[in-house]
Amino acid sequence: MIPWFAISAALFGVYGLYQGLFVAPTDYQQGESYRIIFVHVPAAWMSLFIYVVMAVSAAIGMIWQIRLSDMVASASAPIGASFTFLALVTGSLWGKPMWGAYWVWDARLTSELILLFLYFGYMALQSAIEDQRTADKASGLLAIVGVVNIPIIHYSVVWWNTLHQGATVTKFAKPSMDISMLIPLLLMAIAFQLFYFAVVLVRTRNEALFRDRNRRWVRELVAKL
Amino acid sequence: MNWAKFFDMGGYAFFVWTSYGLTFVLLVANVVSPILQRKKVIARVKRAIKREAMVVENQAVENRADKNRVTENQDTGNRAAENKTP
Repeated sequence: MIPWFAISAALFGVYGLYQGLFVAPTDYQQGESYRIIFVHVPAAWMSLFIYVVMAVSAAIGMIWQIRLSDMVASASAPIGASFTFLALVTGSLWGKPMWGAYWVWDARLTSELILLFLYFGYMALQSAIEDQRTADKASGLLAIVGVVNIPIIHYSVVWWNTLHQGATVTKFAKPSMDISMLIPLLLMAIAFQLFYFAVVLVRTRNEALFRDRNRRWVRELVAKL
Repeated sequence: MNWAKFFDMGGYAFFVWTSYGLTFVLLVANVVSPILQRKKVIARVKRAIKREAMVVENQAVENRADKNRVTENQDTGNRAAENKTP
């Protein structure tokens, strides 16, 4: 399944880039700088999506003691952290020409920064605690508590008077975005999603090999390699 | 299509291309790091297998040596017992 996800992610990515960089028209207000949207928004969506996956699988791991679930959670964290970081940096690179500042303490930006720290906290707990079960419990609890931040991020542009613009796609009304710009955005979002599936599977497999390194199935598997 | 104009991005070249460049770098890092991680885990398990095999072998050698020593002792012990009996 990993090669399928990887190949389709690459196809969607290339086609999305082509649509986004060559086909989509110039924005009447922001000129060409708006093209950052095609990496910024999918990265931000992934940062939220991966966090929810991580928290839900950590919860499943805690409640039903499913080891694979804990592995998925800890495999997701570094990927989620990198997408969060990407969303923040591309956002600030977009903010500089449009708002005149790389960073403002806007509710959307601040809550997204907290999300990055939640990922870092999870990863730190995972690697700081020697006993794997204790590590899963501690970091899982952090992940579950951190979920409150997800709706805060999403609704931050509604609840507070933010510099960051409101939702243009994820709302019940028609997206306030032209179809020629929406298509590349969605293509890139699908590409990022497929990319995550491919990477998280590889990472979960590594995690399983590492955690069961003293068990017979890993020994037999590795002996064959 | 004018390439110079395309790369200029209406004067926003630095912001747009830095964003895309960073995205590319992060995606590549996300592909490379789990591959390296996998290699590391496999190497670690292989080393462990080798080490354990060595331990088992050493133990076998030691056991054989112990056994020889025991039989030797028994031999000498028997001889000593023989010597005792007049």
